[in-house]
Amino acid sequence: MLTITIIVLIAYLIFMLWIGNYAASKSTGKTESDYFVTGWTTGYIGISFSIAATFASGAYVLGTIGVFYGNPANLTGYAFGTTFAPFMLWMLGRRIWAIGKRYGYSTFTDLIGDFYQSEKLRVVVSILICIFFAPYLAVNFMAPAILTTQVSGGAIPFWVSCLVFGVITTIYTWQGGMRGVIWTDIAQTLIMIVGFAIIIPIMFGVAGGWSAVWEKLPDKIATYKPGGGSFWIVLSWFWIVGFMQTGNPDRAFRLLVARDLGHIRKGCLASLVLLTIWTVVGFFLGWSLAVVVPGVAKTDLAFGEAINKFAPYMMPVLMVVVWAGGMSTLDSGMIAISAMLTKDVYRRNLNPQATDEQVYRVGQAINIALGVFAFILALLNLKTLWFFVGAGAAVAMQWTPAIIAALYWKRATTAGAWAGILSGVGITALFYYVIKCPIPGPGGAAILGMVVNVLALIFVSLATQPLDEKHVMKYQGLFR
Amino acid sequence: MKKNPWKTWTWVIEIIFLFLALTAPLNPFLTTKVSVFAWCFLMIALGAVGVLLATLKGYPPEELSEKV
Repeated sequence: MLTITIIVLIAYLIFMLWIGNYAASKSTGKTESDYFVTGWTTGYIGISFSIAATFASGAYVLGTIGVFYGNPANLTGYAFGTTFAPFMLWMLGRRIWAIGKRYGYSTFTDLIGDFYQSEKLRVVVSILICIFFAPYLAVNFMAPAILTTQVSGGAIPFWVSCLVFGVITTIYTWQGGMRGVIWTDIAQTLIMIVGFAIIIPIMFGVAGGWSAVWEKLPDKIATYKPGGGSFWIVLSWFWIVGFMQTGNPDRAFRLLVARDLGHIRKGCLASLVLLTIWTVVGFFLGWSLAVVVPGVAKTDLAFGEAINKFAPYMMPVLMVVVWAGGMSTLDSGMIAISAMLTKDVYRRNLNPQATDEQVYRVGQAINIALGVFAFILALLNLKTLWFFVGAGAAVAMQWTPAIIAALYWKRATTAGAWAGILSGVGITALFYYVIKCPIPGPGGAAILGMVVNVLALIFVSLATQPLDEKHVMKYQGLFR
Repeated sequence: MKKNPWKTWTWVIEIIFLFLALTAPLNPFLTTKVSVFAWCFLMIALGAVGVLLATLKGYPPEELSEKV
């Protein structure tokens, strides 16, 4: 079965390279806007499938489904988050797209820098997001490599899988830019949906059917703790998932690439459907795995163990699904960070006279550098998968209040944005990396950071000189 | 300019969704696995109504006042 699995995987990798190459051939020129925002030509299928693929990382397929397996009741917060996220995507996306199209934006830091009239703020936010988000890139190497090592019984070393995974993803991202990322994301979403549609009935069959799963599913993990004991963990999951889609640059930048507002609207609606599919997949797999392989201590390994034990013939499918999940998130992270470093640091500050082609080349080079960086980081193979996903998302979402204020609040000021972002990032990082957060779950630190962030933004803005009204209306006046 | 009443409805539904969903662990009636997940899927449906209202009625693309 290992040989078949490897052959299927190689076929999948060749397919991804072909799509990346084909997408690159559709490029309309070596320009910044074409490389980072597809020249504003993406339709709703590209937007929604790309958001869904980026959300369903390798860490989702192994790590999150492992959490669905370990305690599905807590993951109702995840379900509420996936339902709330498209609302946020629309409320933020419709305005930021219009402003971005008008002023040629390819990142959210373009808006932050221009609206708050601060080059320093633009660069600092860009670098902060890149620093805290970069480890998330490495997670996407880890999940496929962990599974490959597990399945091959160690015959394929962890580093070999990481290397192959990184090289292929880097090649098509380097070559096709955002267009290559979106086209491969569409294929990867379809692969994952088909893969899950095959695996879920098999797992239910192994467990003895729907009624047997439901009967045997332990109450202990499928109900809330008495006395409201699950409140904070449910809120924590809601928070990280609900705000992640507009906070994480890897998927949020899809809001800038749309052809028109109608496509963003349809994209948000299609995202609602696709994100709900990931939730349903999580519950179905979590419930069935809890019955099929109960008591796996390292929950990241539960899915692989169930397939290995009861349906080894499905390993090629699982393998491709995990690799598709990992690649679809890694490529999006690379193109997003590359866009921020290229535009905010290189074009704005290092070489303001750079031509479009130079920016394009630097963007490509940064993509390669990011691939190498994430590969090296992945080899450290640190902690559990969700730590990196949660930490990256928790910090990245701290620019959201400043962005919402730039889009909707006339009284927001530069000092307010500084205060909000720095305090939000500081508090979140403190509770993620230094002190144990009093709120459990992946979103606990983000909740505390966001509360402090919003309060600082409001109070400091009100205490400082407002921005010029004409300047504010250049952004907020585009809508009735 | 005439105020769009769907804006209010969008926020009413969204706030009800958030309140009912996030207080689920405090809800004394949700004590069995059937009730927990039935409520969860009901909340997904309610949240979906909120998204539909926001995109189709409350904040349609036509609100954009200038061509960009």
